[in-house]
Amino acid sequence: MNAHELATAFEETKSGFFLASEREQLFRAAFDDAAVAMLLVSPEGTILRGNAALCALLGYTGDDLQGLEVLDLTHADDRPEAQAVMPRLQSGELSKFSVEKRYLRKDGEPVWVEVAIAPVWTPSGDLLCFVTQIVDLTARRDAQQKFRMVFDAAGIGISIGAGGMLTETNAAYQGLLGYTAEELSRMHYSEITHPDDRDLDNQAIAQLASGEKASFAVEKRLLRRDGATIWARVTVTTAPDGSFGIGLIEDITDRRELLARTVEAAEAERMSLAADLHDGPIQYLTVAALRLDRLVNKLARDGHEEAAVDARQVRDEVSAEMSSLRDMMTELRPPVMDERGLDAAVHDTLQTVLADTETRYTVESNLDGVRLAPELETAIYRLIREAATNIRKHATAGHVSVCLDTRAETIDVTIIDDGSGFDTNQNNGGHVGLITMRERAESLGGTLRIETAMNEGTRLHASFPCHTARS
Amino acid sequence: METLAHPPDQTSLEAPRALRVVIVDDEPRISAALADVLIDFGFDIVARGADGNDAVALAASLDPDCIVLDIRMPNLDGIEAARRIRQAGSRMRIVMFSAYDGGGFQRDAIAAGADSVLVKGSALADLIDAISS
Repeated sequence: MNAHELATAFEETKSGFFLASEREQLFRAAFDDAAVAMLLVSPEGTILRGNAALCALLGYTGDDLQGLEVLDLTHADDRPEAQAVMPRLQSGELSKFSVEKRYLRKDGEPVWVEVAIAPVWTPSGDLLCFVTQIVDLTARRDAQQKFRMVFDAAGIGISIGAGGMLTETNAAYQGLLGYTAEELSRMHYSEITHPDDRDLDNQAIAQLASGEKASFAVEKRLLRRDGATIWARVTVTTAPDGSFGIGLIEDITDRRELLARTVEAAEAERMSLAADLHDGPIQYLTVAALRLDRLVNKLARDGHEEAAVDARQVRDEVSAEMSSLRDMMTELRPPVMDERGLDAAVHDTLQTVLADTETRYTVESNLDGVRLAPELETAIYRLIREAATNIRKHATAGHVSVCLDTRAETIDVTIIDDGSGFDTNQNNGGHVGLITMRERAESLGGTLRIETAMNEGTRLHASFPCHTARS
Repeated sequence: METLAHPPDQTSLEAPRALRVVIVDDEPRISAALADVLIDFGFDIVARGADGNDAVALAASLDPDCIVLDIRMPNLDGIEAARRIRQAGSRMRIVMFSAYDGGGFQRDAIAAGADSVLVKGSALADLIDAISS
């Protein structure tokens, strides 16, 4: 029963407040024992009675309260508003009024409450009293205050809104993107997402919408107001009833750049090691092999057959060692990539991996001699080799199509096979390879998507920024 | 680039006729060792070069029966040198002898006009076959 309903019931006694009727007893019981704090206040503002819940809330006894002015309970800062409202309630202009304000406990401590006031009228139209209900807001205010502190002071950006809108954002969010709160409040998250990453989280968004997931996280590029791009880890969570969502954005640009520099340095190191293998041990062993050839020939010619056999065996061992060094060199950095380009390297690896299988392959490329950053070439090469290895091991495909599509600022790699496909929900060893492929792509600022289903083949699509392309 | 004139040694294998061979490799120890072996087998090593430009020039000036080319060399690589030698109308055998293997090199070298592509460390008999066949 709210204050207004209680006042109406009280009016219905039609016999005044102190009538000792059954109805009055019911009213008193409802008033005195109510869980919510309540006051009866005279038309002039003097407290007539407070219930037990109110006494507990404010630290008074019932006797302490009687005769106090209700304004005495209100915090000094909130009194002007109360004083302004009182005449409007007394005149009947307002039939009820509620407000959040501070009451003062008997010991002087303020307590946040929601106060609902309803006037009680006699049948003849005179104001009999006010019924006031007071709800303790301490816990709610505490929670709100804590949330507000977290929201305002958080180092990561926070947005709150429904349907992907950025209705409310904190200072960190605004700072990361360079927009004002007002500007962001009219924007959808897709407007701040890099065009190439807009479909990145579509699948996760669909899972949120269907209730399959309550939260997801993705690393993607966001666009600042000044046109600059930042890398962010974005976590999106929806309310249990789906009425709104919270987005958290964490700037990971530095981490990304560090990772990119690390990958670049590692690639440079690998290239250097591969060159050292080529220019050092492989060349020396070539000389040794030729000299051993000569020795074998000389020993045989001079009739030292047994020694010639031994020398030939050493020659074979040298040859085997050269072969393993060549494999090592190719693993570090395929020479064909540097000498003949990525297209030739892709052809080589497909030819090698799919050798002795029924799987045929085609490669389409518009690279046309354009060279990419070494680490990007290696990443694409390894991605294709890994995909081809998976196809060989698991897919029993008839055909694999590889497409390299270079545009102004990106290169897209698409690998499609008509093999057996797989269930992406099943966790098996093959998926670890997919995770590694995704991590490799992401380490270069790229993205990787896999579309597959049982018996429906697999489509693997990776996209990389290639701002370091050179011709 | 140097022009050589070694008399062939006796060999345990039947010596093919003294084919005139040019060897081009940017690693002089390899071209020297290869020359020694081929001389043992009766080949006439008429010159050694150190890059693709040497190869083109020696092919034009000496018109050997065969030129053995490394692939990775400074200034001009072996595959491009082979292409230029063919463009000049030369019909000598061109044998690529490189530390690199793989279909990409093989495909491009053959397309450029090479007759054989051998990886360093291959059996000597294969190299002799490639040069003399």
